[in-house]
Amino acid sequence: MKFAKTYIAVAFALTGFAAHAATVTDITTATATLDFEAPVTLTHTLTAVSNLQAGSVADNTPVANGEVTLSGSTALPVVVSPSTTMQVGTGLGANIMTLSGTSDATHKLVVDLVSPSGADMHGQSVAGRQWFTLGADNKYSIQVSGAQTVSADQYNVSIDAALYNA
Amino acid sequence: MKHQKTLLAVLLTMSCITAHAASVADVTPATATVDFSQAMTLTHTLTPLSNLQAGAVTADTKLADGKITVTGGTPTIAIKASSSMQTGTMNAVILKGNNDPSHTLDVSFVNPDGTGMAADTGVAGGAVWFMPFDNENYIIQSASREQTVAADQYDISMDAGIWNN
Repeated sequence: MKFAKTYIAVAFALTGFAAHAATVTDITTATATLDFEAPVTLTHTLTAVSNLQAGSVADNTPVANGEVTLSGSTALPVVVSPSTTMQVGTGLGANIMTLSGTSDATHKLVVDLVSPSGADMHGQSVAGRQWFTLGADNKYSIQVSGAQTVSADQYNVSIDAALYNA
Repeated sequence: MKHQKTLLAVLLTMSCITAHAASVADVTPATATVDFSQAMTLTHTLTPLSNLQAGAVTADTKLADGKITVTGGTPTIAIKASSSMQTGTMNAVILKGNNDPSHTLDVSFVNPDGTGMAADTGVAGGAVWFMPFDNENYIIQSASREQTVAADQYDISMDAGIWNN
């Protein structure tokens, strides 16, 4: 008998539910396209200028040229920064590097990381590190920073390139 | 003589009217306010995130923001995947690539904090509708498992409406 009552109760509940089914009105539709882009690969080359002569060197003398090429298209800008192994200046001088001779570490060469035209590039700080935005050609230049006397030696310079994702 | 009779009849008729003047009793007023409400208007947007990278996509990665705003009232909002979508269980949706339909992307729609929404399975028509927690926002996120997503464009379409219980 108890089972019978329960059955009846369930039957009533279902009936009531059906009679008062909710409705949804004023339906509006929104659509979006989720665009998954293939990962972009960066190829980064830094080529030293040949036939550099020790001695008195003029300001803004190019000593190396950098270029970044991408495997695909991306809306993200390419940025470059002196590698963490480089001795860099602070603040506005974050693009200035002091290079040491590999034969004699007392030999110094001060260079800066600039656009191919020699102009400073727009910098932005990411986690305390300064990154500089390349132009549309994705090229940059390492140039002598201030006229100086350079000892005959080899000077290593290392630059990192990346995509800037704000 | 005929004129006198007529005059008498008129006088008697006038007396009769005075003696039986009508009256109105138990006056019961009724009032009504005719309220012309502003029609409710829903605005529904679904904005994809940019810079989505193909390859391994971790579970529950946010992919798009959905938002419904209403003018002219404060109704309860319900959402569901549009009928053109291939749906999975409950709030799961299976998307296909526009360039290659063999590319698939499993997603779900949830509250902005990633929690599931309350659902009503009893809506007329049989569709299951979901109620965003804040009655306004939801997100599209990848399924709750890592998946490999091919580079492609994946369309998603969502419906939003006013839930009338």
